[in-house]
Amino acid sequence: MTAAPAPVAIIVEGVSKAFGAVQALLDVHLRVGAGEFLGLIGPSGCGKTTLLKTIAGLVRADAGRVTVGGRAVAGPGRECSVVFQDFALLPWATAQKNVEFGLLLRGAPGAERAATARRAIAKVGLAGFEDAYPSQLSGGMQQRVGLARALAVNPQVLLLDEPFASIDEQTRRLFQDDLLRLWSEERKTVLLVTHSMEEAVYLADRVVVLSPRPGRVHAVLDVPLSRPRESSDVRATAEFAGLVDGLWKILRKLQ
Amino acid sequence: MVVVALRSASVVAFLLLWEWAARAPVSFNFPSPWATLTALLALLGSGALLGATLTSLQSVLLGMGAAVVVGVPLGLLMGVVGPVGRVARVYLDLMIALPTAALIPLVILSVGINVASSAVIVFVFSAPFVTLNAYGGVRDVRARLVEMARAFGASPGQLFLCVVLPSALPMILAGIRYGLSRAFVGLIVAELLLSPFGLGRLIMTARSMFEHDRMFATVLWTLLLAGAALAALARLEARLLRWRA
Repeated sequence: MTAAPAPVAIIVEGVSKAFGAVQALLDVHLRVGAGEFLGLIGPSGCGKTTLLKTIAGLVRADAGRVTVGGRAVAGPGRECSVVFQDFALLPWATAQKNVEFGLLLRGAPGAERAATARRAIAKVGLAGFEDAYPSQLSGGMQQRVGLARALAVNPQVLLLDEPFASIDEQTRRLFQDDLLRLWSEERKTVLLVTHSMEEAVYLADRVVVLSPRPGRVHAVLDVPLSRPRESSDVRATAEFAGLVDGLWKILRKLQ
Repeated sequence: MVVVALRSASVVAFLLLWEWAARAPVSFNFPSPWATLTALLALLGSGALLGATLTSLQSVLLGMGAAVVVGVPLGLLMGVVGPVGRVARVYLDLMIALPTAALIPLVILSVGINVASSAVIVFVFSAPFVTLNAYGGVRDVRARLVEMARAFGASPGQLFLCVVLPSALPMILAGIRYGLSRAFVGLIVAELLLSPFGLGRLIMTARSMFEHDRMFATVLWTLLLAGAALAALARLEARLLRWRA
């Protein structure tokens, strides 16, 4: 359905954004390669969510430009899907209808919508829960619905805004592995906003550290851990610990 | 089970209290539950009650229907278009505080004495609640859901139909239910004060003839009608809002 992905999926050039007197972002430059898994981390209030929303077209930058899949972002577009920290599911709709939501807005015919949504639900491991309402699902399952909804519209780029923050540790680890598996199957570009150093190192190819007020790119850390990481015990290696420690040393100076 | 038992017990307790009040020399000619029930059966048998009920229900349906048809869209509009909401809500708040009964002469002068004039009073009693609830429903839509829909490229129309309206539905329905109970209050006020027909008229006639058992029977009947209508609405609500279970 989508054209061959450009080698660079996201380009952020000189983006600034202020909310009143607070300079959330100042002259941010960032390039995310097609198919790359990029982590975005920084102290609270450093503007990482604002940057994600700017890329999603939900927030308009005061200055600079954002290009996704070769197109300048002027508003929400079809290139990106967002997964929200609080899931943002429609409480009155079943898992199936929630996953169909993006397709419905795009005018996909009913039968196609249903089939695509069912496939996406199966992909995130929720087959059999199509008719459950969000209130009947655990937090982790609700976020799986959120991820399936994002995947159903087949975007080039997945923007994940602290997707695991409201999920318990055990569920989170399983979910992270599933995300890595899905990412290697689907070859999407992923931008993950997180406040967990372990999560950033475990999942990402590169981790970008934002400094707070004004938010700007402070450092970029390469994560050379071999893949697939989900099937090996990467977290137990000295290399993993060293990378997390390196990230902590950068972040500690920013607090 | 416990709820059913408690409810039955409360009914029995109420009837006992009523019986006691009727026997105690509290008030002149206060009818016992039994007398009231007998009067109710007699009224039903004579057909007087059914005729009055049909007339009154016309006023309720007309007034309440208008309250929904006008109030829900107006409340939605107030919620979606901010300035309209801020201006209109002042008038609605005033309408709630209004001593509505004092308006009745005005209604008689402009509409005349007929089913429509009771319907106007019913409308005035119920519409502000229907409207304000629809307004509140729109204002309570979670900002995150709106953002999510925008992220998936929703047009303003889609946003309204797919997010705002279903979000507001529980409050809209609650407003209609509350409006309906207000509608019955409005009905009796209107019929007591202005109209020579309907349930209010029966109550008035019985009172003026000191037939307090008939009067109470009619009031009880009105309560039963309102209760049945509210229960039907509550069932509809439960069906439409299954996801909240």
